[in-house]
Amino acid sequence: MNWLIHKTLKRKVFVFVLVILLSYLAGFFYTFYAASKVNTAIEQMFETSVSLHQMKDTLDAYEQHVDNYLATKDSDSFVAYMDTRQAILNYQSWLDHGANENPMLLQMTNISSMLNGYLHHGEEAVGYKRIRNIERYLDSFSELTVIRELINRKVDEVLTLDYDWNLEQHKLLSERVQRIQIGLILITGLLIALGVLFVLSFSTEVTRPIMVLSDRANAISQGQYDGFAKSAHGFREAEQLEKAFDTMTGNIKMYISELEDKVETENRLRDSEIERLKIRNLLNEAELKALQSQINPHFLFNTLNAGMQLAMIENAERTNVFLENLSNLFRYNIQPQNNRVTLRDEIRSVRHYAQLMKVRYGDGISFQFDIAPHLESVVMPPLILQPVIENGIIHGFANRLSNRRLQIKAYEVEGMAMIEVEDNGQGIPPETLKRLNQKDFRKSGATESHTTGLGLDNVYERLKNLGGKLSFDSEWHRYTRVRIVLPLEVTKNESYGG
Amino acid sequence: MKNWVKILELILLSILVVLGVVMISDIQQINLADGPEAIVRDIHLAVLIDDSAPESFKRGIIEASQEQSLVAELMFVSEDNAADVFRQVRLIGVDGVIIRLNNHIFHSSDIELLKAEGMVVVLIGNDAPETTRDVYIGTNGYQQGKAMGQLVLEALGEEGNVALLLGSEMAEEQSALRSHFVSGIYETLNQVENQVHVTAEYSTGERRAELITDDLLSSEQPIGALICSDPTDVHRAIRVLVDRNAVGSVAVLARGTEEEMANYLQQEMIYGLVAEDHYAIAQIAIKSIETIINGFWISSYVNVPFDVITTW
Repeated sequence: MNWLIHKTLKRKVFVFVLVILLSYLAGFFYTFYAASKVNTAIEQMFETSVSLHQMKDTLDAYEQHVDNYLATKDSDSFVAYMDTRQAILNYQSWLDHGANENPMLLQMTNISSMLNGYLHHGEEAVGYKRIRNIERYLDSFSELTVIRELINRKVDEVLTLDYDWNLEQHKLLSERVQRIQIGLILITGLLIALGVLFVLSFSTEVTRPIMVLSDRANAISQGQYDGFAKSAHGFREAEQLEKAFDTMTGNIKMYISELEDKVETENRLRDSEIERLKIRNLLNEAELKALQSQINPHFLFNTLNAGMQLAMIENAERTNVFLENLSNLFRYNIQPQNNRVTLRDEIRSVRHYAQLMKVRYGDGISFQFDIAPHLESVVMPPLILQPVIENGIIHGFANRLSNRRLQIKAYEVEGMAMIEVEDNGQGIPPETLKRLNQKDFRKSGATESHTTGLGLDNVYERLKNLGGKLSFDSEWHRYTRVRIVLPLEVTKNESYGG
Repeated sequence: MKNWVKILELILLSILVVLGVVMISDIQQINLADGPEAIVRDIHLAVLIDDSAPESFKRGIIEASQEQSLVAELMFVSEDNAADVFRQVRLIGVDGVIIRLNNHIFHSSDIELLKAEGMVVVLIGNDAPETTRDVYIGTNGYQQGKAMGQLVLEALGEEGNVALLLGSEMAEEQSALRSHFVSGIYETLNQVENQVHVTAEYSTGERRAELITDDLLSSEQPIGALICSDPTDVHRAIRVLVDRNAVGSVAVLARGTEEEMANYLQQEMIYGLVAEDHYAIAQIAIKSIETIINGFWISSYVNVPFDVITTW
């Protein structure tokens, strides 16, 4: 019976049905009660009339028994006479209403009084019969019948008055019954209206939580898991249903979140893998180029050494220096690109390259180095500066034959090593500059003119893997400045490219 | 929406409750047949009247009995049922009887039988001094007759013919003319010797007042005044006077009540009226009988004054 204590749907249905039943039961009770009262009233209305008619029958019987006794003088008639006499006495008592102001009751009292004389003459007749006084008992019986006639008239008078009274009562009763009928019709109408409202209210209350859940299910199917207002419930099952639904929604949300995380992680892994494959590809490409350039490095270096010895023998000091620079540059360039070098090594290689360019362009080109000494030990990938400088010479100075100036600076900025390579060449067109700064090096790939055979994309990818940055600044027909930022913390032992 | 439904439910429920309470009250009031209102009094009187009893007398009886807190039962008596009514009264055993009947309806023996049952008997209008009746209440008929005679002299100027139309109740007195009322008239008119000639007529079932009046108007000796002792005859006589366009040429003198003659007095269709106050008589009768029943003594003859009303 817990469902009766708690606010359950069962209790709600039970109460609803009970209320409806009780309402209609009350209506039925009203009808029954009214009918019962009307019936009682009608019976009361006819009570006097019925009793008077019964009394008249009793008087007939009384006279008959007296007459029989007078004729036969047998005990049966006498007993019957006594019985009816007692019955008449009872009627007499019922009829006596005293000196009543009410005309009908007064006439009933009159009948009661007249019954005295009636019974008296009956007794006289019987008494005279016993003493065989024929004349007297005949007189008494005759008087009895005369009085009976008077009583009958009075009874008729009372019946008329009773009829008039009942007619009046019937009129009043009819009016009341009519009112009650209208009232009952109103009550029935109100009960029906109330029943309809109850059903409406009840069905709404019962179906609302289901509709709310249905809406939520629709929202969830469209991917909305949050923002549901807590709805009020009329019964416990709806609350339980909503709780279960909320739990289910939470679980679905959690599973979907986990799934999304997993997908994201997988995507990240895939991107990382792609990145790694890309780097490996670049490395392979670089290594291939390196291998291509290392067809026979021992032969190349032995040949260059032979050249250097020949230059020394012939006292060709400049040729000796030239070949030495070339040899050192080649030696530096053929190292694996995943090697780590210091800025000092890189600058030294660039100086070798600068010496070779000086031989090539003479005074038409100048290199200026401004390297902060504490940055010389900064670790970085090899062959970073040389492709940048080569780009400056090839593209920046393409249309310039004299006063070609290249400045290489290294200084510290906010805990980072900033290396700048600036030329006073023709600069980079704005569109190209924008594209380069967006790391789009498609047309800036390796060119055959490069000593290293490496493009800016290679330089950028290797810098990025070390945590470095590459940016470009230029003003058309005035200068081009390439900035390379390297972290100071990187040590030489850190592996390159994962 | 929900709130509106709830409010509507509450309103309907309230109406239902109110209607239910009203209905219960209505249904409970269906106790109409419990019986008429019953007020029991100590004294029960029978008032025997015939068709000559004016409404004012009946009203006087009813109102006086209410004032005195007793029950007075009006019983209509005719020549046919007189014996039965008197028998009924004896059987019922009332405390007192007021009799306002014409002499020919009841007999002295009836009164004695009532007295034998221990009832107080009061007579009104017609006395039976030979019986042991307790009280007689009435106006002095002789004085009324004299007043009527005076009215005739006023109307005729002590000269002319007068018709005296007497009711059927006086028909048996035709030979003797024992009525005090008639005696009073004659005595007054006789004072004017050979100047006023009186003709007495009796309205009966066979020769009604209309015929008598018509004959009188057609007579070679036209009448100047018509005295009616019965209010019913006044109506009938005036009807003929109107038909014969003789209203005003014959002075009608009536005996009755102001109530009965109200219309004629207003329209000045009668010259004068000798009026008894039947309402006062009824009141006196009730008070007298109550006094006697309660053991007090009163005079056995009570005279009630009468009024003389003239319109011309």
